[in-house]
Amino acid sequence: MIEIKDSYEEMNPEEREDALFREIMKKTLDYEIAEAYKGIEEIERRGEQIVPDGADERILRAIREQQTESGGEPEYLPQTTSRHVRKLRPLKYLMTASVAVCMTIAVSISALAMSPDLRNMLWSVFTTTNEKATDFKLSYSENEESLASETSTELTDFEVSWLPQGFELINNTNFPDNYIAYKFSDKNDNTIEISRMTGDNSVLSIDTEDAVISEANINGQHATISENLDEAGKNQIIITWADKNDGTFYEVAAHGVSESEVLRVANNITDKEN
Amino acid sequence: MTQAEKRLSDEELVESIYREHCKLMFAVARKYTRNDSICEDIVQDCLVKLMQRPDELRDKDEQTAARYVAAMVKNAAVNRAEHQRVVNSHTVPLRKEDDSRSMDRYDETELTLDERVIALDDARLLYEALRHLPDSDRMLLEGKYILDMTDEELALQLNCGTNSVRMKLTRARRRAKDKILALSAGGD
Repeated sequence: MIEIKDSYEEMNPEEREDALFREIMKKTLDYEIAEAYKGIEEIERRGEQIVPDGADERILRAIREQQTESGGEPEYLPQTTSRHVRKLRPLKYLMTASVAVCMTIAVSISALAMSPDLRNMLWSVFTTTNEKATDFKLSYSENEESLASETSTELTDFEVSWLPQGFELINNTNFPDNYIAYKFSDKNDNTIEISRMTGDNSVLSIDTEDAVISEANINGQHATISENLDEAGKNQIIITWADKNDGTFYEVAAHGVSESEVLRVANNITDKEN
Repeated sequence: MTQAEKRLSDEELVESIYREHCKLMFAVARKYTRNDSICEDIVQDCLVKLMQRPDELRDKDEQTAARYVAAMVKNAAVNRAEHQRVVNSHTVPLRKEDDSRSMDRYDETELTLDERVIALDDARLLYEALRHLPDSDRMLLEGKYILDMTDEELALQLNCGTNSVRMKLTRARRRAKDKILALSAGGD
């Protein structure tokens, strides 16, 4: 018989129900446990194991790892997806995603810092309203729809047949879908970067704050020259133009190089032959 | 006791519970699935939960611990077997007026002392009676009376509002009584 506390009769109806069912559930579970042990004996009598091979080690390792990782997710995961893992997964995914985003931002910042051309290209997309920049409408005289179709093709690589004395290639960025760039430098850290990008955006914005703007003709294309001083006090020249034939932008950005030399570089850019 | 020492003690406690009751845990899990991997999942799931509240089993006698882990495994196994779908199918949003009306009926159907004696006399009968209860009722009763879960924890498990837990518990107890009395009468 189940023992009910002496105070049972003094309880209110709900307390009595609780006490009664607490005992009922205990007794029921005791019966189930006894039945379970009978089942275990039967299984072991057949020479089988109730606990799968290796389960002890895996589970105990999971417990230890969970503790040592201050409540983190155990390394061991059974073959199937357990519910607690599903509960913990979102947090881990969130952390992983955060790390990935941070790394992406860091890499992007590094790329931008290393490549003024790329920086300019992004500015052309995002800072067209910046008062310190000038937007250049590189319009195509006849049919902009045909331009759109042309710009969806892969960029053709290019080469430059003349460079000022002492300049050597130090970096090449090649994203055939939208951006190709070469960077050259001399022993005095003067640099020339030549980039070619798709004309998906028909407005290109370059930094013209305190700059002297002039115009030029590069291989038959109308070009804009922006000239000012960079942060290091060197002469900075940026020549920008659109190639009406294939709907791409060109930009030559030079630091510490004379205007005539930069123009000569620009005029010696040609498609690379396969 | 430092936090690290306490955690180590918790780990040792959970390990000792597992070592003591691992066969029982797997045996109970096997009642719900023959898949060893799933059984292992269920057991591990229970231990992870236990590590979140290790003090529940601290200083408990062996039989109480056995009941507790058995109930946990059953709970986890049912949860795993599409528990959510089952619970949802048995869950009906309740308004407060329903609650009070049902409480009146609860008083009317209170077990008499004789009925209680009959009900408690045969463990197998109790087991058979409760075995045929809906999963949600059994989980609720075991959660309340074996696992000592709070209303908030029960509500989370049953996917219902905290205010509905008391009503559900009342109904579960009434259904359990009906089953017990029906089986008792049939057995006479």
